[in-house]
Amino acid sequence: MDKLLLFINTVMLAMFVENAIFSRALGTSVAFYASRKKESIIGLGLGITYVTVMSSFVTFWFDAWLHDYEYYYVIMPLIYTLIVSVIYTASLLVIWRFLPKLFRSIKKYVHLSVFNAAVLGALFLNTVYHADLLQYIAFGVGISAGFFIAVFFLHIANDRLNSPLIPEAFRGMPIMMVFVGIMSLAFYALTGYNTGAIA
Amino acid sequence: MATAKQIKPKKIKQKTDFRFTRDLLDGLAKQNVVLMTGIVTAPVIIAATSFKKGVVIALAFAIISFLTILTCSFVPKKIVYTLRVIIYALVGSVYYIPTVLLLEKIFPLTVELIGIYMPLIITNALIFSKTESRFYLESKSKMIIDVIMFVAGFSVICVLTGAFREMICFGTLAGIKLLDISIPAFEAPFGGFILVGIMAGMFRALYNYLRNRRIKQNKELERAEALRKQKEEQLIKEKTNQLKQLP
Repeated sequence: MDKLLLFINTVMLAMFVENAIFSRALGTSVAFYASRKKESIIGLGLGITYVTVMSSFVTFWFDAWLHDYEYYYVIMPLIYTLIVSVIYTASLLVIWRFLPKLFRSIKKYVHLSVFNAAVLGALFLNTVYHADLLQYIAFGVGISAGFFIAVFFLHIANDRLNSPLIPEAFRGMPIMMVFVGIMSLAFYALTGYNTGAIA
Repeated sequence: MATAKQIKPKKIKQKTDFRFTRDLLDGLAKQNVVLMTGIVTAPVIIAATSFKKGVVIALAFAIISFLTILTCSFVPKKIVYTLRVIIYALVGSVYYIPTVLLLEKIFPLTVELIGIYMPLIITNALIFSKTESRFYLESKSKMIIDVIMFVAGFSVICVLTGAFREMICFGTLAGIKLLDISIPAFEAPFGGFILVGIMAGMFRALYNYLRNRRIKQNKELERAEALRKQKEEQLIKEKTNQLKQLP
């Protein structure tokens, strides 16, 4: 029961406090791109969840093994990229072999859900914050779910943010950034901010 | 004779040269990766909270992106893109090692403060997207200049954002006290998002204004040219008529 609660707690923390977009700006450009179409949100969300969770599982063992090495933080990106690449290649091979139709439809943008800041960022944050396998996986799930929620919010706001009511120069990316900023402020309230007024 | 001098043709810029310059300046303005296309924003929004951090991120981005793009341009195109991206990511990670060690020697504390946004530079869209859609379609020499321009475009905005945020948050620039205001909360992600969003909007407005002005000027030049030709033709006609009238 305790482990289940810890799992849920870590997922919630990753979803709302460490939200991939609103708190960390991880994969913002991919989120903007995906928010245009509903199908992209689901496809990309599932892709990112799969790669993040699988990679979190593998990186846990590498972190445990190489944790004491002095220059681990320098070679960590290379190791993580290798892990993500192996998972990516193996998954593609399986899809290509058993689901050729799906492979044809995803091959053009599948790399977007693998080599982006959201996946690697989740892995780096995991290394910084957590110590056991359950938390690693839960954090991976939470970051992906947080990314999914953020993209969904952007999708809802997309039409309004591109309306003629917005000045031409601000239409598209700039107003989207301001919108994410305001959403980020709301998410920021979850963690609180010390104004210095109370010692 | 006096009228002939007045309507002497003005020098018009060669269109081919102008296009070449404009293409190379794309990375700085028209396709700036932060303010115009928004494809590389995470390090600027979250980590560039001071002038010094902005400089360190810009340096890391410049070294890693330039060397990775240049090295990966030798990867054979026979390999499908779905697998080629793996090579790009691995090359980027390899270049990250000497880059971070070098920057750590120069700015030890700043590199630590940037945290996870330093290694995240290896997954930037300049390496994964722009290479295929732009850089690798150009000749090597043009590609090198183009990449330098794109990297410079990012670096300028990254340093500027860092400087602005430092001034808003602490009223300082590179540690020197300049203003009496201080809004420390602006150091949080929302500050970065809002600032970059406003900067992007203003930059686009300025770009659109300059572009429209240039289009207007070109139109005026074309109109003046057409008028000049018309007057020239009229003058020739008049002169031929005068010559015909001579006995």
